[in-house]
Amino acid sequence: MDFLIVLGALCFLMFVAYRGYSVILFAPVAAMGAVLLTDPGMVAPMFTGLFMDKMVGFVKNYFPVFLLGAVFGKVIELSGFSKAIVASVINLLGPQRAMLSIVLVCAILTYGGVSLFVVVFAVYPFAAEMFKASRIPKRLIPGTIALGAFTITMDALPGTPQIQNIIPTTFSRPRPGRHPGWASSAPCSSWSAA
Amino acid sequence: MVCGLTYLEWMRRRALAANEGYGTNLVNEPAAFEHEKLANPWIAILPLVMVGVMNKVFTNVIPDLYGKEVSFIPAVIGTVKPVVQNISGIAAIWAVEGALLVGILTVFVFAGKTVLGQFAEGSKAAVSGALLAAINTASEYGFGAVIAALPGFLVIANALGAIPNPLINEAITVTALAGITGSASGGMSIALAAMSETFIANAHAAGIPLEVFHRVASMASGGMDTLPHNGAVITLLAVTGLTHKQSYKDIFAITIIKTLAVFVIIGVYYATGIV
Repeated sequence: MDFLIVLGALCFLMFVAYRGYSVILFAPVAAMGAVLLTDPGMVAPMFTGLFMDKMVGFVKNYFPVFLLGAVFGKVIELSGFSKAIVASVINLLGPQRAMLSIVLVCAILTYGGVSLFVVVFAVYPFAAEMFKASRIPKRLIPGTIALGAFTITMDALPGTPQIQNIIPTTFSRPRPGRHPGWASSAPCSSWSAA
Repeated sequence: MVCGLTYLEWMRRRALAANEGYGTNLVNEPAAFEHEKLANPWIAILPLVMVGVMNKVFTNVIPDLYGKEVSFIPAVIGTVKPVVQNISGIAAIWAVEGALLVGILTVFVFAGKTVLGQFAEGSKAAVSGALLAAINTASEYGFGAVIAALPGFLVIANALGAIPNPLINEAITVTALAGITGSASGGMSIALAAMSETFIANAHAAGIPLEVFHRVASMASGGMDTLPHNGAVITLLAVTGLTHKQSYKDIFAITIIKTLAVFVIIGVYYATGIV
């Protein structure tokens, strides 16, 4: 029964997210619904003590990163720099290579240690210009960024300084990749994004 | 990666054949840039390069500068505790914040005039985008923490512990927990905190190097990034102003390819012994 409650909360949240409802509203509803079915007395304590606590902890660490990332993406766009780069990449490689170049930029940035969330903000202006110039539907942008930023460099290549690759090192010893310097300087906080 | 690119190329060709074009009725579009002369591409790429390079530089410099932890005493009336911060936990965050600041300043140095004209409006849009994306992911995070604290979660975690093959056990446990908490790093922390002893014991018993274990754990953690309620997916869609309906199919395809790659790696390891 407990087991079904957890799965139920999960399925509910996935469903509303997919249907386009705001997760900000429905994540607490789903979580507290699950608590209510398990132990009604714990709803309020769990809400303040666990849900809001973790939520605020995330904001404390990551909101400045999101904010600066968004401002960075915006000034890149306002300055026309994104357009200039797109124009020269298309000159150089031709419009068919638009997606490849976006994937590569994402991969390079994430492998360089820039947070996935920042990459999304920074690359989007480029991707939008490039896809428009090459007449590729905008709906393919998220998949392209996901390929570059969320998959290969996040955790598949040895030595990537992304958090997903760092966490296991605090448990299973081997340092990330063969760069001793990264192990000591890399993030070890186990509470992080993605 | 090759599979992923092939898939995207195929989708692009199909859209081109259907003459779909870029699309209409879009939200969150970058403003059209109307200027007679575009910036030199080398200058234009510079801010992006600065972010990558400075991030690396700061990551190396910050721990040297502050040591293991830093504490200060706030100047207020009455007795106060010193504020202590653990550097290893926040060095990476400080580094990327510093790098982004340098990146933003670089843009201002080279294109200050152009940017300043529209900065008031532009920064408002950036702030609301950042707020939405951050709070979205943060509430996912709260959800994950609550779910992980429920007794039903323990049932799932224990059931997963019963899978015999150590590598497959590890991969499935990490993937499932990441999926349930809606967060790759959250799920992996929980899985490894609860079970690293078991994993390591299993690895030694089966004679598998820990490096292989590490690789499988971190790759598997991204596996359920595939699910629609994942923080990263939601951020991506919020920033680009698209909906799950329009784009989720492609994200799903791309991330599922990678999840399968985890099992390919396990297979390769058993077939050849190469990490």
